Amino acid sequence: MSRINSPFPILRATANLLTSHKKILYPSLFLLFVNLLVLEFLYFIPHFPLKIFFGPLIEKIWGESYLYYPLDLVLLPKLFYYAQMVVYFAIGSFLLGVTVHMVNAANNEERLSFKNSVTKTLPVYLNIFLASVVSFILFQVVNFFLGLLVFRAGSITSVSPLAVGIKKLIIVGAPYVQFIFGLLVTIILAYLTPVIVLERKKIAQSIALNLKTLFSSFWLTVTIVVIPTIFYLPILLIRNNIGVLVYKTIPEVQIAVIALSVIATVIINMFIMTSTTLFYLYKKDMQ
Amino acid sequence: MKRPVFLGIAILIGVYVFFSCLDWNGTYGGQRELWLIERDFKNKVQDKETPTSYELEKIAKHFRHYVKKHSKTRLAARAQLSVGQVYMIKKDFIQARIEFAKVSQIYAKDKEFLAQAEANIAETYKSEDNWPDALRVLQGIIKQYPLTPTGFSIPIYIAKYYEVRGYKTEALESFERAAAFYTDLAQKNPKKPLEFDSLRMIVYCRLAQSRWSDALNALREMILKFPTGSVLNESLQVINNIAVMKLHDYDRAISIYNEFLMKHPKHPATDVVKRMLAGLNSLKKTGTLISTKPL
Repeated sequence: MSRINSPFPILRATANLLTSHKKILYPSLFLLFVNLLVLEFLYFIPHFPLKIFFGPLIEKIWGESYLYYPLDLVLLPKLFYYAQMVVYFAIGSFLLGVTVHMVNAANNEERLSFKNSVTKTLPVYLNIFLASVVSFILFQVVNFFLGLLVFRAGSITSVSPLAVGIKKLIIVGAPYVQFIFGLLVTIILAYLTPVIVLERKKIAQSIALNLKTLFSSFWLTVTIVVIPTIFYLPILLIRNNIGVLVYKTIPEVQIAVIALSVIATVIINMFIMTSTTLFYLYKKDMQ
Repeated sequence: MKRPVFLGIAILIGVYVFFSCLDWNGTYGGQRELWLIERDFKNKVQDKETPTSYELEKIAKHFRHYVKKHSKTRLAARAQLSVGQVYMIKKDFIQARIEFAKVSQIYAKDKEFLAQAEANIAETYKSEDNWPDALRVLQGIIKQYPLTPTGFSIPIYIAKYYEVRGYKTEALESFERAAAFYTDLAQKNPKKPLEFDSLRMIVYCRLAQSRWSDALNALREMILKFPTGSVLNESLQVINNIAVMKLHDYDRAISIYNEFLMKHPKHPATDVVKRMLAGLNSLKKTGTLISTKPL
């Protein structure tokens, strides 16, 4: 087996595997389905009969106006963000673990079964859940410093062109910096789920092995993660300019943007997870 | 592969259809429809060029169609108000009044809408330089709908009308009547948000009348009964300004602050109040007089 120095063989192998073994897509498709179902449910909160149950809660937290068109659609991305976190912790991270299991099975030329992979991954559910918590905490810590930076930029009162420029750069660029931070966290923990699922190790040992694998092929891992993630940039651009888009079209465009963002995220995560798993298996074979 | 995908899509569509059917007679569709017409209206008005009579008639037609479709609903009343506003922009004030008057026939349950319709009628008279009729309508709102947001704001609106135009005597009299109106409301609605709002309005009236001592009394009552949020900080600042710069009477502010500390010993603002007390005591001790500045 020749040594891999470029990300493209891995990415090509990933694309080939996903097209030849479509069952690997099942966990991600299921996750996509759950996310869209949640989005649909949240959209109907200001409508009868869900309004009866959820209306008072929304009224108490955000105010009555958020129960009426079009402000309900302004609140929708926020509600969906919270709901998406719950979905990710509860089943999203687990389904990525199932994907890892299926990729391994396909690599070993075993028969693919979604049900079987779910059953086999279930014993490591807790470790996968802990891994998602670690990833979340890491992201929040990094995000906290970004928040401090934005807060500091917001308090710049100088009107000199340089100060105004810096302030604008930090505030406007914050969502993109946040995106890069997210990317960094994904890179740092790129092999964590494959290690947990394939090696059946506990969380601390898995983190150690993940870091060992990462630093043995750092730049290759970076490119494996970055290349698919680049496809999310146009969506990020749309999301950051959603106000203009809503003004030029109709408020419902927010729902389409959220749905598009969910689809892109699920596909990108699946692709990254498949690539990192394949690369991890390759490295294991090399040893 | 295809089967689960189709099944997922079918479930998503099914859920959408199910919830849409449950809300078939709900107001959400109506809210959306009205918002789109209102947006069209707003865009036309905000355009640099004044909308043509034809364009305004077209918008009025859309609103009227909406009123007919959703007759006897709250949203229809909102649309009817917009019909009147279209004619106000057209400067057809007689037609505007006819349209505003229809609001009560469409939906009489919401008093705020009725008050808004009347306030708009008053506005048409004002635009025609007919203040006596405008005043008659405004006073009617105060009598009929005093507890609606619009009705609540009218006494101050009248006083400010005179103040802005430099009619000092009328302005002072109107502020006096407004203060009496809000005092009555505050007394009739103890411990309710309306009492808090009324006390704020009384402070506003007394400051406008330069009746500093009465303003201090209202502020005292307000911070003792409703020591909340940013209004508290603002009130403390005004109490300081009045006592130090207007009345040169440190004891008034010191007494209010001591009362506050006794009544709310664990309030988060106690440190601020204590610092203010120390400052006032020091000024009092040295007998410093700070020159009056306009508030």
